[in-house]
Amino acid sequence: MPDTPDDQASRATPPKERRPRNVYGVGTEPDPRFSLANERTALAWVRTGLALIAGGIALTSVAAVADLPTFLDLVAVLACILGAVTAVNALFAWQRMERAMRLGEPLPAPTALRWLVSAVVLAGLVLAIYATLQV
Amino acid sequence: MTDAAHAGDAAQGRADLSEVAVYGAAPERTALAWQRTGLSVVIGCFMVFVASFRTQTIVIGIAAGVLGLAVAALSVFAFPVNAYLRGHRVDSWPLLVIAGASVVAIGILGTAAGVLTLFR
Repeated sequence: MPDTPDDQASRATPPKERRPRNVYGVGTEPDPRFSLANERTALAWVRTGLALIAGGIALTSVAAVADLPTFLDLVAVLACILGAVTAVNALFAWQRMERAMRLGEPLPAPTALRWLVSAVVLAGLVLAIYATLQV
Repeated sequence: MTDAAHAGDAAQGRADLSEVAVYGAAPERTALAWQRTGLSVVIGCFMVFVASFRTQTIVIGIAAGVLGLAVAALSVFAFPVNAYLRGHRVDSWPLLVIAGASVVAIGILGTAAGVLTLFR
C-alpha cells in the first residue's frame, strides 16, 4: 500500500532538526532536483578521492612487488593524502552549494577542481618522466 | 496540490508523492550514485586488504577488511534507495559524512601502508 503524506510526515525530520544547521537553518527549500544533483556531485567527488587513493595503493603494491625505488612510494603516499583531502572537501563543497541554493545566491566556483586537475597533471608528468628515464 | 499546500509541506520537511513523476529520473540516479559510491569504497577496502599482504602490513589489511564489510552492510541497509524511489525526503548529510569518513579512513590506511613500506 503506498504511503500517505501523513506517513511520510511522521518519518521526515522536522526542518529545524535537520543537520547541518548552518545549511538547513537558512533560506527556503530549493527544488528537490537541485538538491539531488548537489548530492550526486558530492558523491562524485568522494569517488574521485577514492580513485586517487586506489591509484596510490596500486602504486605502493607494484613498487613493493617489483622492488621499485622509494620515490614511487612517496608519490603513492601523496596520492592517498590528496584523495582523503578530496573526500573531506566534498562534504564542505556540498554544504556551500546547498546553502547557496537555499539562499538563492549564485553557486560558488568549484575551486578544488583547479587544484585536483593540477595535481593529477603533475603526477602524470612525474610518472611519465620516471618511466622515460627507466627506458 | 495548491501552492499554499505545497508551501506547507515544504515547511514541514515533507515530500509530495504527486510530484515524484515531476522529479523524473533524478531520485533513481541519486540512489544509483549512492550504490556506486558504496561499491567503490568496498573495492577500495579490498585493494588495501590485498596490498597489505604484498607490503607485509597485515594489521592494515584487517582494518580495511572490517571497514569494507561495514560499508557493504551500510550499502544494503542504510544507503537510500526505496526512500528516493518513493519520493521521500532523505536527510543525506549523515550518510555523506559516513561516505566521506570511509574514504578518509581508506586514505589513512593507504598512507600508513605506503609509509611503512617506505621505512622498511
